[in-house]
Amino acid sequence: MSNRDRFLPIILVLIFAAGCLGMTFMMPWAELGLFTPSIPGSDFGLQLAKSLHISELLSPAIAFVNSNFSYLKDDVNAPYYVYGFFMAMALVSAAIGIAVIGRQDAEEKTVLPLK
Amino acid sequence: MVETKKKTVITLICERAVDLDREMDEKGVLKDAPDVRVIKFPCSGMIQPLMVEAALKAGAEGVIVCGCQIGDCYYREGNKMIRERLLGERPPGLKKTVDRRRVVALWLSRLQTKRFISEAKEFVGHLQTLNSITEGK
Amino acid sequence: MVMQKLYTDPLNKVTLWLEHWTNVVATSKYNPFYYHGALPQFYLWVLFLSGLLLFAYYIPTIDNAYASDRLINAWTSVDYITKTIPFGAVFRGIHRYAGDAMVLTILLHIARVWFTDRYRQYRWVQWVSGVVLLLAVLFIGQTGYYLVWDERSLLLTRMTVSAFEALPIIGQPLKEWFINGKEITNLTLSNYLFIHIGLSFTLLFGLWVHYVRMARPVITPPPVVNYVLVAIILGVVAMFPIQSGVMAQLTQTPTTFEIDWFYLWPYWLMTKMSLGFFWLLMIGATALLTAVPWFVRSKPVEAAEVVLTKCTGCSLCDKDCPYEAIEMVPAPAGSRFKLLATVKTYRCSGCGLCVGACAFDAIDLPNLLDSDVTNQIKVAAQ
Repeated sequence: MSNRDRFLPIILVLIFAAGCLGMTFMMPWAELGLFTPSIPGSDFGLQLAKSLHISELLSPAIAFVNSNFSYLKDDVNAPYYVYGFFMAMALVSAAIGIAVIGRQDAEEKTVLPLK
Repeated sequence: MVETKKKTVITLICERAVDLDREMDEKGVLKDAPDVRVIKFPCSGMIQPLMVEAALKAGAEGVIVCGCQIGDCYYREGNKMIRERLLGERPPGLKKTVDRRRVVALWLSRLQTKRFISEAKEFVGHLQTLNSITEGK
Repeated sequence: MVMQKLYTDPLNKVTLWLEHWTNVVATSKYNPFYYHGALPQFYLWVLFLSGLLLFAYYIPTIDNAYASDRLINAWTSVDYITKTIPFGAVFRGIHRYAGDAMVLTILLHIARVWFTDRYRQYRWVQWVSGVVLLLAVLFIGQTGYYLVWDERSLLLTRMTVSAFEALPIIGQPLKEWFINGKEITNLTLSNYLFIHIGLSFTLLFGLWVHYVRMARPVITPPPVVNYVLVAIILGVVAMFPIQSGVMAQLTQTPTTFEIDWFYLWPYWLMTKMSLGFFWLLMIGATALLTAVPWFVRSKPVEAAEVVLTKCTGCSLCDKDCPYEAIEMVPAPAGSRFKLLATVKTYRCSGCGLCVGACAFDAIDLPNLLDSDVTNQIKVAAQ
């Protein structure tokens, strides 16, 4: 087995695991309204992020949501929809990560064990 | 002493797996790999481990078992059944005396003719290496 | 056989080609084509769970005789779920889009079953029960649209009533069953709720019939596939949030509605033709769809036969048969063994898995004896 065959799956899994964790991290922030500050009652998210000194870290995500989910601007459920979106991203990331290793089980050729 | 016995590899394949009709002559011999004789079944699940043993005892160098892709058996479970029988996970199984190095199983769809031919040639080569190892002793 | 060669073979080749490239990326372990029946089954569980949560807050009444900010009826209960309950709107969206996904995956399931010739002869029970299940799913989905009780629901109810009234003899009783009386009242909506939930549970019985002739039916996709199935629904929910229409008023006569093509296509048809012709089309199409397994003729299956003198009753053929076509019965008195295998010929597919399972040469396909095959192998090996 070449080095690429040995290490590429592990690297890919780590990337997708990190992606899954990242998206999961976004989920509670979405529910607290951090990404949809125009919705009344959403400043708790922004205040919490500022007090934890991570509001700059999350600003790219805020910008992403604002540009792609602008149609939710006045929807009181915007935090929940964005939560669902990040959950979908987390699920897809987890699925790909698991499949990268899991697909090694699939057989097109079975060699019988000697024992 | 020159070895004059003809070396054959028996392929037990199901009708819906790899399409070998154009690759073999009327006797079931593969044009690209003349050592290989093809015998067809309605489903790979019909293959009995006894048949694999019979082939090897009658003088075949090796046996290739070929069914459809796992998950795509036309009769639902045939390829899973023969796979488990060969691996010893499902009765009836291969006798302990059978040389497992001389049996290989492939799970290929109808379209994968080239893949089958290359796997068959590789298996024939592997068997030749085995023979030269045993003859060299 | 001619029809099969003409159209199914090319369709089968296209399917094989699509599946081949999916295997290259996802491997056979995760190929969704190989779980074509399990995908709609999974969405059914999503519908049950999301529906249960909506059911907790739903109120099946139509009262709106007075305008009041404390008005409690079906429309306001759905509005309450959507606007006040945390995640209520998301679950409403999940329920609606999982319903659409269910029809889509059922259509893909039907297509694959048809293209790969997995519906004829010994598989007719699966096909016919599938037609019944499809009709039930479509009707259940339609009742879901009535339950919101917005202007669309009112229009759909009235259109359904006219459609039923157009039927001879059974039309009037059917209409009175449907709206649960002679007019639309609160009883109508509670009937819709009963149909929506009750018929959904009846689907489980229909699925039992659908699965009964298969051993170990594949009804659960691997978790990896399930994650993607849920992610698709959540993504669509965020992209296309659900809004109710205006609350229904019995005094109004709405004339247009937004169509969900998956479930409401019969209503579109109703606007394009006379109701009589509509029913002829629906009933005719259903009859045609049910008769599909018998359109293509082929050689009858030669069922496996047990060699009674050799059977030891080990039951391996019974365990391995994919179509539950073998039954173990008590061996006759005086036999050395306890059980004897018997074949239900009407279920046999002629696959030979029982032959592969038998270590005693006690079961055979009459047109392909395993002793003949073994001899053929021995000759070829020399």
